[in-house]
Amino acid sequence: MPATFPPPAHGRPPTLPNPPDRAGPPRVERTLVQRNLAWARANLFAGPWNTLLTLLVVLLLLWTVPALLDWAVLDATMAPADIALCMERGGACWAMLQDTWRMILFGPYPPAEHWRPALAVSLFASLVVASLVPALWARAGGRRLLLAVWPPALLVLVALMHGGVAGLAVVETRLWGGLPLTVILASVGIAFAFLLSLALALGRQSSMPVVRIVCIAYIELMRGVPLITLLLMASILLPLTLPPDVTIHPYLRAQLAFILFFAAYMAEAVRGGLQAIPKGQYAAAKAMGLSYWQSMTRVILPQVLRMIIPSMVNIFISAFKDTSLVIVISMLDLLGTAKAATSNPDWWGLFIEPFTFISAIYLVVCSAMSWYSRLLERRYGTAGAHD
Amino acid sequence: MTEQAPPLVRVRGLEKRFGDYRALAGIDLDIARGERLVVCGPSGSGKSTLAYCLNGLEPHDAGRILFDGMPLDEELGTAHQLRRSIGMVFQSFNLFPHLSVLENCTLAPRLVLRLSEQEAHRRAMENLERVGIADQATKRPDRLSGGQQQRVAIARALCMRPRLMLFDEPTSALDPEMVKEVLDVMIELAQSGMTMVCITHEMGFARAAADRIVFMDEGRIIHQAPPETFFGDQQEPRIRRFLADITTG
Repeated sequence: MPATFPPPAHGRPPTLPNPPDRAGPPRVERTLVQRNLAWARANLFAGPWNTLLTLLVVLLLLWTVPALLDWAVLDATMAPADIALCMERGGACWAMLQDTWRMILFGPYPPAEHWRPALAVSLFASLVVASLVPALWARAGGRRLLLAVWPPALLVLVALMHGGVAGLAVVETRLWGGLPLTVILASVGIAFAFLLSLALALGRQSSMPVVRIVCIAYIELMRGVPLITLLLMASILLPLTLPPDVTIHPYLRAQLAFILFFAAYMAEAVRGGLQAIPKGQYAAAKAMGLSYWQSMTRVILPQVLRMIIPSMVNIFISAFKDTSLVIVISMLDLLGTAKAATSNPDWWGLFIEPFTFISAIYLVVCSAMSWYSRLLERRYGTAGAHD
Repeated sequence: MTEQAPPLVRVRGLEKRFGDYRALAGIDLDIARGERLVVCGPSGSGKSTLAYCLNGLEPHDAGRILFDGMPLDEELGTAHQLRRSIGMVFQSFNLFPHLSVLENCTLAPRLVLRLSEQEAHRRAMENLERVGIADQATKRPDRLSGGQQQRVAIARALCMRPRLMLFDEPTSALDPEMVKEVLDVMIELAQSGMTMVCITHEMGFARAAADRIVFMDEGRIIHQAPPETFFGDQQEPRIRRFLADITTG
């Protein structure tokens, strides 16, 4: 164990006294330029290949950026405009988005009630963000607060979306679509798949042969089929196999397919983490008199979860994007509503704009997830690395 | 009455196999209350397996272990119950790296003994004080030296108020300069009257603290004697060779 020495009392080595009136802006500017030049030499022109690569990239940018700028800004058309004007100008038709963005975000939800899904999504997003602050989780009071807030908040969210209480008009679930549907599919899917994956991963390590075989078979089966076939089976095959008087809501069928599919992938990530925990940790927990569940929940899984943050978030991100596959069973998630917007007769023939719009939404959410993952890794990454 | 007090641990005909390999080939052993036992022997002699069987971490294949008159057996479901009365200190410390030193010590008392947070905290600080490491209570284990970690591991085991302490080569993974600080804690513990089974090659500790030294080879106890006899006029050639080997390093 290396000894850590306190830093010297003075943070930096003594420098020559610098008269304040001489240290004017020109001097700072020069050092800044020098520093940038040094950076450029080291990173852009450090040898012939590096220089060639830099020049190629610059050429590529010169070729693409002006065209992109022309399309997105210079030749673009804002409202008020119609499709004819857009076609004439040739650039991006932002007027179309200005006309259809609410329909893309909220789908067939009644336009007069759009504030409800908007409020619900914002409320949900702020709750998620608040729950992801590690400082809140670190304190028992914070944990209690979060656990106390979530159940009523979920009820409020359902009440907002569905209505029928507090004077809100009822909006049936078949009218839910766009961003709220994507958020529900992804968050419910990820949450339940995560819980199921813990059970599957532990089951796969179980000493009971039946449990182990069932878990292995399940994981291999789910990983062996494409998600699309699962969705199609859930939406077409499942209703055929059930008695005629039993119906499962289409949303639930899709949701179930997501949970079952991604649980298998997450279970393998958890298993990888479980295998990396030294045997001594199990032995120590057992020797202290902890039961199987106590050692798992208090000793083993906390270390496993810290270890597998990157691979878990990777699966979360792909799960979030893959909710768009419900388009094959005609559900109007964000991709579904964007596609519906392209068949709007007023804006017939425009594809890029709505898809650019939803791509931006997906990009923002996924970047936020990956940023948060790096934050967690920095905070917890080193713990668990030692025996 | 006192002479007839039954031993704390009674082992009869204990056997353990790993596949075809017989790690324990019939062990008979009594450990009296308050007795300090040192178990030694060449590597592969079954010492560690004996320790792991004594608290049921490894289920045994044949024979019986009675702990305070109760059979200790995984299949009877008593091993889990009795384990909380048996403290174990491992060769590689096995502290929980995601918890602070203090949390390492309070976890099991809170979960297993259902102590209140204050009571578990008080007991943890008391034992950390005892091993001389209370000032590190808020640190993570990986911030401590090996010797400090092992002392925390001893404190962690003591927080369960065990009636028997098992030490499985507690100093083997330590740098030489840290061995003493751990042995000092163990000697203090031995003097306090704790029943101890120490698997160790530290013959200095055996001389200073043991009531009896048990020598194992090939899964059997081949000799046992108080330290003065064991180190004095040793006739058994295997033990003489062993003692010569460990003193030359």
